[in-house]
Amino acid sequence: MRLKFHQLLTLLSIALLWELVSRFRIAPPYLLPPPTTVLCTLYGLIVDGVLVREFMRTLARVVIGFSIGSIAGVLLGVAISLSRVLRESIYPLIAFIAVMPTVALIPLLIIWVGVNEALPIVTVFLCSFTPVLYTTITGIRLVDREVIGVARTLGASTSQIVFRVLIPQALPSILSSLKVEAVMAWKTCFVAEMVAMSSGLGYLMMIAQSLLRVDILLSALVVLALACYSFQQLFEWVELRILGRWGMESG
Amino acid sequence: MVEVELRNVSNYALRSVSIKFDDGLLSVVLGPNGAGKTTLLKVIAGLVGYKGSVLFDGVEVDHLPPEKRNIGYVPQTLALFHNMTVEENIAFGLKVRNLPKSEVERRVCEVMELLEIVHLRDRYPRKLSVGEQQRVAIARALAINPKILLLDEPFTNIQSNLRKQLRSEIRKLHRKLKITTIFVTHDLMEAEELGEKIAVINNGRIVGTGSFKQMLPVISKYIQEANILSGDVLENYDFGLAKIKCGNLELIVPLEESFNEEITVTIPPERIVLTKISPPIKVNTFKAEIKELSEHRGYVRIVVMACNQKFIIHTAERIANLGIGDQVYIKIPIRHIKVVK
Repeated sequence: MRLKFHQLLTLLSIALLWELVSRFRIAPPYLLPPPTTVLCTLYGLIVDGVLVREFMRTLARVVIGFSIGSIAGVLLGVAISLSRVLRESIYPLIAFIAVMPTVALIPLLIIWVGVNEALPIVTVFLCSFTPVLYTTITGIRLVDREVIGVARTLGASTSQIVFRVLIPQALPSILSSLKVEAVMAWKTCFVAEMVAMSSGLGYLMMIAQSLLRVDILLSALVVLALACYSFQQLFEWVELRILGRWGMESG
Repeated sequence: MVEVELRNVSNYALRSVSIKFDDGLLSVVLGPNGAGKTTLLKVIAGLVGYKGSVLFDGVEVDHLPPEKRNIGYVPQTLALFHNMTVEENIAFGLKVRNLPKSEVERRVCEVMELLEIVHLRDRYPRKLSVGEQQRVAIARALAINPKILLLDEPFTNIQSNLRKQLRSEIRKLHRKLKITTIFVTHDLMEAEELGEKIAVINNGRIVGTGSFKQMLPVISKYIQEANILSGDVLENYDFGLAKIKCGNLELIVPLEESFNEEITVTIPPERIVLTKISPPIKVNTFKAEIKELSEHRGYVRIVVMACNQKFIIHTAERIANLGIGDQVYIKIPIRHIKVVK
């Protein structure tokens, strides 16, 4: 992303205004520390390794939960799609669960899973699994049924049809859901860490909050925003590259 | 090549279909939408269940799955693999059969040359024109060296001038390969131009088989009502017209080459003009009497007798003060008369 002059100007003006509001004590600095202080805190947190350590923890949880969730979602989605009876019977249930916010499950998961490393991973897993499962089934439903017939006459086995024909053709839907869910995974993981964990960026924020360290809170928020943004961009890049090459539209 | 025979085939769309498609011939199955045409092809390909039996060269193949039937299938939607290049699409059937790489390469080049799409090799289907996609789909079906080629309305989404070209290409291709080909369509022109033998299907039943000319009455009954007239050529004019005599009726018809035998013409019912007063131009205008009058969804069907010939006319709206027994004039525009060879 390259900033144009007027975009840069807008950002700098807002930062300057913020700086002035804090510096002239229009808002008390402990409530709204100036951006320079936030940047210094961010730098300090990176240098002493705290932020990096907690970030890596959160990243690991997000990546593990999200990968398992989305891969399982795609595979199970394909399996369900292959049988019309199974699809028709289970689809409404999945559609119902897919729209439920996963963070609402955290109290339940604390009881079922316990407060341990598995909790944020399970939460992230659930947050990506059901929506990806749902969109995979929808995506495959949109694939021209004749494709399967043709592939069969050409001699393809079921696994060849699934991996070389069906999944690629359903990719527009799958990728667009992955793009949304990748961001959702970060948010969900943050909430899980805030509520129950004693490590990770979410935990760091809760500590900062109890110490009234708004500068640390804002630093952590910047990191969260950057992480969400880069995950989204990554999938957008994949989407553009693959679908653009195939001449497809994103789902 | 292979002779394909269906014996008493029934399923959700077909009712006791028995038909034989001759070895090496290009046969056309003609029928309206929902008649069971596509299902017929899918039965031959083994893609849907059925009762009865399908025989290739007299041998039952009912127990064989689609991949063992050695069939090239081109569905109406073409069903190209959009995630693969043209070359990968064509190679798919060969690769899944685990043929050696050199063999795959050789065969792919061969069909690409045959269909003149070598230059499209690295392109993706979505970025091709409909005509090019068509060729890729046929190439993909032919790559596995099938014994039977099934084409399901492949020209549906193509504009008419390109259709004409593609039809002649299909014919050329068929002459070159001599592969048993079954071409399904609802388009009369396509059937006439392509089919050496035509089977008419309606409501899941085969209602007739034969040449296009032989099938005209059947087509008129089941697919598209038409006025069919046969008569001897009386006179050939040099500007592409001829006068023919059908019973007591003398009709000017378009005829490009001079011809002196009996010919058959068809006239679409919606093209005949009916007036109550005598029109100023007398060419192909006849005095007629109304015999039947009935209203249908979207049109009024009128049957008239003119010079002892029955004509069916469809008009969009009811003509005021018109009843059975009334004397009227009918005019048959020359450009809407079609000569069947």
